[in-house]
Amino acid sequence: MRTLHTINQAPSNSQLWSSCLAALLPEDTLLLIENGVLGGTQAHRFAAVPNSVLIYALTPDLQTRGIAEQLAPNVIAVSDETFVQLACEHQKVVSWF
Amino acid sequence: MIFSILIYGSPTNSLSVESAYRFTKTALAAGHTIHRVFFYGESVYAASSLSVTPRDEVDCFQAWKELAEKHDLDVVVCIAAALKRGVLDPPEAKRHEKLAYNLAPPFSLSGLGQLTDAALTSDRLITFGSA
Amino acid sequence: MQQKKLLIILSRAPYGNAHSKDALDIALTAAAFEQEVALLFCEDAFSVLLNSQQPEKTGQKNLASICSALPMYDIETLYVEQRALKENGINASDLILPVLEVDQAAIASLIRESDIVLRF
Repeated sequence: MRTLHTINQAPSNSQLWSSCLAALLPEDTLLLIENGVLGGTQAHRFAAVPNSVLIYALTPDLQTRGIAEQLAPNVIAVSDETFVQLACEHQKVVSWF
Repeated sequence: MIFSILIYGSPTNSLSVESAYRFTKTALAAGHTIHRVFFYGESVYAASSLSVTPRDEVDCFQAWKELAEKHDLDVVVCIAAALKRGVLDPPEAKRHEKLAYNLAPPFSLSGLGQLTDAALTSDRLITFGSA
Repeated sequence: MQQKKLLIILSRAPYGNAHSKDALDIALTAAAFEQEVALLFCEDAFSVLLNSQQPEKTGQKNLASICSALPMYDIETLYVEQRALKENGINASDLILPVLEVDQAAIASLIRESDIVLRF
């Protein structure tokens, strides 16, 4: 049962980030969208997340904010098309907002 | 895949309506089916025909209207959320003796039963929400 | 009718936002459609269940009253985040209904086992 989690707030919303990251299981995937992509430049944010969890950030949202070049090494930029694909590949999508 | 989309953010004070639009458009282009788009909470304002968008901004009402008409989408607006925010179709405006209506096809008003149905009949229900 | 396991998570204090009531309305509707609905109250949302609320003092709707009707809709499983209760010095006896206290690991499990999760 793989869950795709999306988070759309910046990490300054620490309660939301804390709850979301704590809910990630090893087989899950995290996708940063909207202002959530701001967390994609900070590798340390994901220190406690299981290594097997893939972390993605939505490219149009990164480009909007001018941070596409600042992504942490463990965060991968993906397109809207990939977001749709990820939604198909996981059993469900949980949105954190 | 059959997707349904739940939108729960203001069109003017969040990115939910825009993100949902992009996802929906992309899913359709990839050949997936959109069973229903359900506008809940503040997102009901996105369905009002009376919004006037500055020329240099994206008109999300127009964008959703065109997408819905092109793909014959079931774009449903939660009736309880809409009424209390002043988003009314002609029958509701008449029923509640209001001056005017601002909701027209392709948008339609309905209850949370439509969201439940969407959750049950779709392969995936995706929420685009905001504080 | 097809049945799915729905988990509705409330995370906000009940007043000053539409989220809390909107989440409960979804839960009640889904239950009326005979779906398996579980509710989880996280972070500040424990305060939705406080039995001492007098929301009429500021013209607010009493969400605790709505919650007390949940068992009538066959929503009997109410989970509350243990950490939130502890941090706020709240005991189970301060709440309007019996609840199951859960930690982070249990919450992650709940999410995994549900077919649909909506977090408000």
